Amino acid sequence: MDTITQLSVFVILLVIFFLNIVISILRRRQAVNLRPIEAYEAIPDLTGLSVEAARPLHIAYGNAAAGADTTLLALATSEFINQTARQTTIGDAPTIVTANETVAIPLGVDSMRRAYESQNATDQFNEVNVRWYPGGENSLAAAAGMMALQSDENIGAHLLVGSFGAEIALVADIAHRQDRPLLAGSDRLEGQAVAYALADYPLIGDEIFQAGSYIGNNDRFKRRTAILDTLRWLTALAILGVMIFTLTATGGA
Amino acid sequence: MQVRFGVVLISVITVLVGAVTVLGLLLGDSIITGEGLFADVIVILTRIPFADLAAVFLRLSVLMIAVTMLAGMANLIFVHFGRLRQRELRLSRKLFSFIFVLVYFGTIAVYINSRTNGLRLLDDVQVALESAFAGLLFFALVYGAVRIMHREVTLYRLLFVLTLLLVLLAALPFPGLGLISRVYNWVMAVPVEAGAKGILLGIALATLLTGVRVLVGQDRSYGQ
Repeated sequence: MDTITQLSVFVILLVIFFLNIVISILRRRQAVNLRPIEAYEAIPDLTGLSVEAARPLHIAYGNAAAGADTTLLALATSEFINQTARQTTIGDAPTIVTANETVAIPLGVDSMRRAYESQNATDQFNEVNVRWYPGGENSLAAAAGMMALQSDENIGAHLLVGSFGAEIALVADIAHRQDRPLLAGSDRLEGQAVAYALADYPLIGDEIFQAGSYIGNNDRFKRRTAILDTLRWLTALAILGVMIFTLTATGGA
Repeated sequence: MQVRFGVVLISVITVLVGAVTVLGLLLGDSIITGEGLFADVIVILTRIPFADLAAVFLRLSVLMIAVTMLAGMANLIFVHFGRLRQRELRLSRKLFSFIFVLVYFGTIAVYINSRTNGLRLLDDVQVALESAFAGLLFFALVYGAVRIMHREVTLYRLLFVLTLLLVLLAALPFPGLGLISRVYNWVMAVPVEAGAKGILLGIALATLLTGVRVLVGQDRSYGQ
């Protein structure tokens, strides 16, 4: 790693570390107001529908997995699974989790186990509800598996929150044919575009990381959202600053 | 608030392993070569072999990934054996699971017997199937694009469809599409590029923040 990269990474990590500490302390006593996100507002309806109709929810990691560059996304998806599965433990149809990478299976099992534990329903937890759908080169084999899952398990709603490409369109197609809602978000741009166009409830950009704040209504996660908002504003200001500096330095030429 | 000892222990281990790995990856080269911006600072820390420890942790994680592959294979078999045992499941579904189990063990047997045949099986079956699904994906995307305006007409959806039409028109191999090509080039270079970078920046910020909070033990999503 060259010196410039070392310095950049070190400075970015330090800035985020100190901002995280400072904002956490400053906002400890303050209530954090969250902006409405349609996809998260729909979660209680989707879980309610799953419980009432005894149709399981299907939550997918896609290619998000620990040990790769999607490790933290996989953690965010796990949080999403944990918070959503908590609301369906009282139903007869347990939530089904699928992952394209085997490394995500232990994460999924742990998230589901914690969800059942939190509701004192550990005896109902079945590890086989976390399933490996081998992705293949373009994740199309996994998408085919997810399409079959719809008819096999009579899925109530598909929640694709992880790393996906254009294969979301295949799941969206089967969900539409069976009149089942689809909530989708991806860290990949092609997946984002397809999710925005075809999903009933799309999650855009960093919204995937906010499950703890919105579904869990957890203060710790809400503070994280507040910090993220502050960081976003700072980044925007930094971009504007660099732009103004460049314009003034070059004399607008 | 009650905090379980196990959770605290896991948090401490995670924080320590994470911090050492980050330091090892960040400063590793400097330790080895004695160069770089942090070379002077590292003199104080030379007794702690961050780079070696980070390498050990990374090797352990690679080992874990290999182990989870076995877990995944076991998971597949358990799911399908479970379905074969379900009484209320339709016969066609059971038949599918039965064929799956047969093919699963058959493929392993072929691979053990001859690695070349095993790879040929992968090329001839899986790649062909994936190609077929790529064709299906095209139709799903076109059908989806048609459906966008059926559900609800909003300004953003209208903009989305117009942009889609523009991209498709610009891809046509007809002469006299100069204006459309110029608009297409501008759209791709300015709003699309800016939007894509904006979305990626948002994801990168959220990823960094999540990473830092996991490293300092503020987000204990792995323990409770």
